[in-house]
Amino acid sequence: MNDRRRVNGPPGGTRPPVYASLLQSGTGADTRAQRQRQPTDLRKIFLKTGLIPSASGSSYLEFEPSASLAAARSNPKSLIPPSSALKLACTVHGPKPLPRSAPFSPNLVLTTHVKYAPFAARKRKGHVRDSSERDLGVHLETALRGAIIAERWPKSGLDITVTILEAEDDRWWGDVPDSHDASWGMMNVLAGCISAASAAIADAHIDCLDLVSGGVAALVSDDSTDSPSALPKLMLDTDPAEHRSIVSACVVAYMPARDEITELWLKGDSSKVSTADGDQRSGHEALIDGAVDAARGAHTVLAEAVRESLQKTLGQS
Amino acid sequence: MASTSTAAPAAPNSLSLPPSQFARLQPHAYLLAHLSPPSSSNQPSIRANGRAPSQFRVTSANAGSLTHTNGSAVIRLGDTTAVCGVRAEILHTDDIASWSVSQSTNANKRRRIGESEKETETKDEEDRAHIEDLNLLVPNISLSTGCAPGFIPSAPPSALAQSLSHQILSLLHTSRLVQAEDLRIWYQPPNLGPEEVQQHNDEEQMDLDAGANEEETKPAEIKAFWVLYIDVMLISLAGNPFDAAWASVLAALRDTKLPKAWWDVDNESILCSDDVKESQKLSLRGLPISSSFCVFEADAAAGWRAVVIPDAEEQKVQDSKHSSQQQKWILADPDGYEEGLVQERVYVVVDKEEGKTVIVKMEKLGGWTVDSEDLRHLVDISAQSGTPSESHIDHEPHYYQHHLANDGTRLKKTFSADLFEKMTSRYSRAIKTRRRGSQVPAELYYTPRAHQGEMVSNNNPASLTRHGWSVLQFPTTLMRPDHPQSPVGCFDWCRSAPTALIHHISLGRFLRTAAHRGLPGKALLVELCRAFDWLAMGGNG
Amino acid sequence: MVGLTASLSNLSRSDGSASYKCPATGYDLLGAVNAPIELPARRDALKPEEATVEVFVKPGNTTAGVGERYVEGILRSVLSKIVLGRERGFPRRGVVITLAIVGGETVDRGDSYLTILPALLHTSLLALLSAAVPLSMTFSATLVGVNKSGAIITDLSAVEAKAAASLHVLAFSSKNHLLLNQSEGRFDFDIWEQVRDRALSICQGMTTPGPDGDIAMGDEADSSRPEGFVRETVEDRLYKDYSWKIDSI
Repeated sequence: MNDRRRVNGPPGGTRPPVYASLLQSGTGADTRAQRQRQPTDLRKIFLKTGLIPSASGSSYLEFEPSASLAAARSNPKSLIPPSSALKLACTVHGPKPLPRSAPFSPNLVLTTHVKYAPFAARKRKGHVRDSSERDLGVHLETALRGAIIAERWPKSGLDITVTILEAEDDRWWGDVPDSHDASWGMMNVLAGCISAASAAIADAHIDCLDLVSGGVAALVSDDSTDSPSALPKLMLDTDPAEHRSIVSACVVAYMPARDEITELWLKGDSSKVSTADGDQRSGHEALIDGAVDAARGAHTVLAEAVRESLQKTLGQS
Repeated sequence: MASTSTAAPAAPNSLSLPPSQFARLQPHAYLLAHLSPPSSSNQPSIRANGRAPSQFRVTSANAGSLTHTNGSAVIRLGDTTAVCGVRAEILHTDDIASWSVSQSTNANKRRRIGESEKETETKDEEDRAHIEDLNLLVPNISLSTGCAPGFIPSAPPSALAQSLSHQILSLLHTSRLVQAEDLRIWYQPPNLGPEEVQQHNDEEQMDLDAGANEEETKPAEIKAFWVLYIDVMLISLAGNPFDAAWASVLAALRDTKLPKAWWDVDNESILCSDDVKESQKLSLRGLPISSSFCVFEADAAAGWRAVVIPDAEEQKVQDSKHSSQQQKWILADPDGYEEGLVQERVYVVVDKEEGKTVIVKMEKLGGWTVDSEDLRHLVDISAQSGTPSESHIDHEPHYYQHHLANDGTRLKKTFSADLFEKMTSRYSRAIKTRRRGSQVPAELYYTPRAHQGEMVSNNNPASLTRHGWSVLQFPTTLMRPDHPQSPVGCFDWCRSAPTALIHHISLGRFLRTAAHRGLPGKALLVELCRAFDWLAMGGNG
Repeated sequence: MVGLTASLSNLSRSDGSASYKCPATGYDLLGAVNAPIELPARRDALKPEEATVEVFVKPGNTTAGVGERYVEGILRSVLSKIVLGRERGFPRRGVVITLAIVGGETVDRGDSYLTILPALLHTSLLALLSAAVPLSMTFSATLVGVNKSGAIITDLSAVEAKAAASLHVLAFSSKNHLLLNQSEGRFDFDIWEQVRDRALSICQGMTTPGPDGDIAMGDEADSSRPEGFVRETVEDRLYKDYSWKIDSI
């Protein structure tokens, strides 16, 4: 069905390119992206606010490209990117009066939209929001609603829009989906959305309990030997493209000042984990704690970005 | 009008409003005051944004920063930012309904032509036929990015976005920027030597071969086309979206690399090589640069009641008489504030061809003050403005990573390792203390909640079942014991019944430690597991 | 532009309407105008001191797409400058113009709208006149092409338009102001000036009203000029509507 409000491609549809190297050799194991960071080492985050002056608040967030991606960029060999790094822009419009048709609300009405750019992922995304994008919107709303002091703006609305320019992969591109497979990349995207939206809200000077930041942790079994006794290890801030198999993952939206979680999303089988000696935590406990650690890390970046934006506004006025 | 205009810019003391408020209340007068300062003050006529009337905003561009694209570019035109990504996909000729019919007629035409001049003409014709009729270029502009307050993110494309998409497409077609030959994937039927087969994708080579072996070889046939999906996300809109969008499309197309592709007889499909060395850049025809202008009139509404609007010639004479008082200003590259104050717009797209300026598109609408002299002037300005931005795109390094921030402060926010160490150690202390004190509160209670389609869809129970899980879903709302009206969180989760593994939890807000008045987080999870077990056992355990 | 035919007020339920046929290009258009009417749906977008001009273009065979949005924008900007939207009864209300393309070549995806633009402009002008919407001036428009050898061609058919090196649509007001210019293709400014002069002579022709308001009628060439054509169509209608009065004198 043609979308009359957009420019359409060929009516018969098109196919994404198929690379011959994939068909010939299955996957070249040596080119596989490997995690170079320590399990508790987080990726660097670039976060800057106020880049979109027409919005009341805005932020731009970018994750540090993984070692393999950075290498591929500086010395391109293959057209297939080894992994990708999250890039997203977030805008906040409001507080603004609610539309005429909306019912009375004593609180700030929060609306979140998350949209992937068509070129954001390995597979081309459609222009209409799909269910995963709507899901991300709902999760983001849950995460932020707990942090915003909504009673201060009765009868007002706040629109938060996140545009994802580059998303994270769900697995390494050469792997076939296995039984543990899920949209793991979405969880990293959500963590990024939370941190970016939080910065944008602060940039719009909306009162919050604390800066809420997002963090991801995952239980990963990276052993190629696949011995059943090998327990999955806990890793913070995982890039799914760098791991053989992610068993379970968890995103939290976390406010450090209150030690409060506003959103928790846990997926997968977190029953088994290889922990350090003396650590009595169960799998999902370790997972949640790991995600909180990652969120604390992101919070330091967030705090600095917000401080910077404040200094800028103070300097202006 | 005259009195306010003299007072506004220079002497705020005679006016009780600060300039920023004046700008909002009386935008027209504010801009007019900037453009026509009193002759006594000796100030130059500048726009409210500090630019001279024919001055463009600083443009910065960089290409190739997005991973999943064949070509990408980010253009910042002042505060307007456009991100363009080009994705190439393959259109098999088998998927084109009318292909075999149109192909045979084209082939006939091709064979008949002898002279070179006619050949270029038919080549043009064929280019047009392929690119335009087969929809090989698919540009779309999205304004639903929260780029400006007026655009609702979830709404379908606005009229502006739609007409911008059309303008880009139409300009791509009329400027014939992309050559159809770059988009064709050829196949040479295999009665040639192996070395020629390898090169059958290369058009020139192929033509030579075809010329040399006219008699004994079958003509090469087109097996597929590349379709370029050109998507522009306007991240920030502060006036002049067309120039920004077009510049980003242009820069992204210049950055676009298409992999080498061939028809694989065994697989009956098109295969590509992922080798960067074998990929080819698009060869674009020219570099059309677009410039937009708007015409600001001293008093746009003055003429509306005049029964007789003077003839064009008379008006010219009148204007020259009153030359001391300028009545209109042509503003280059208008920002959002200026765009709201004008009706008449001029769009010029120029290209250079053998040193000469060629106009590719010229559009003027919304008023009657601009005529040929002004247009000539504007074409000249556009031709000049084209040069710097052209060089800009050329010299910008590829693979510049942090593209939206143009100040070069990249990745300066890093974690200091010891800080993180401190953090985690403090945190593990917190865990220990909490673990000692945590208790499962007895007053927790659950109420089944109406199924929220949005939340549950991410559980994706269907896929879980496919993977051998038996899924139970349990959407509940957990109430706070001290405050029964306020839900603490919403839970959606699945657990596989036989192995009692939690597979998916999605929770709302809750407090992690018992130190706060809310619920202890971990205790809550334990409680949830208990509740689930209770449910799994049929609710009577 | 030879043999243009048009008639006014064909539709009984709209405030004004016009049908327009251009045999050279085969376009057959029907325009309807409702003005001034309330637009409750866009109460927030209405301007307090002016009328809001809305234009809708309906292609003959499908629903409107991106190309129609674009041409609607062009028409809106031209017409909102012509309509005296500050007259009594007009501010805060809408002037809604609906143009249906009944016959002729369909405009394909990504094609320029230039070939049909003069017809759309004339139809909307006639419909506005039929609805007695106050206008500051009338106008006429024409399509001029330049072929590959640099010669200016007028009265283009669809095939000629496809083959032309550049296409230009120009609209001039009854007072010789350049109201609209849409040019695409490859050309330089000197060619454009020639095109402009040619278009001006087509649009105005010899039929500009003399100083006494008389029109030189009866000349065979007159009806081929769009400007004279607009005037004649309106006069025909007036003559028909007031025939009872004229006859009684």
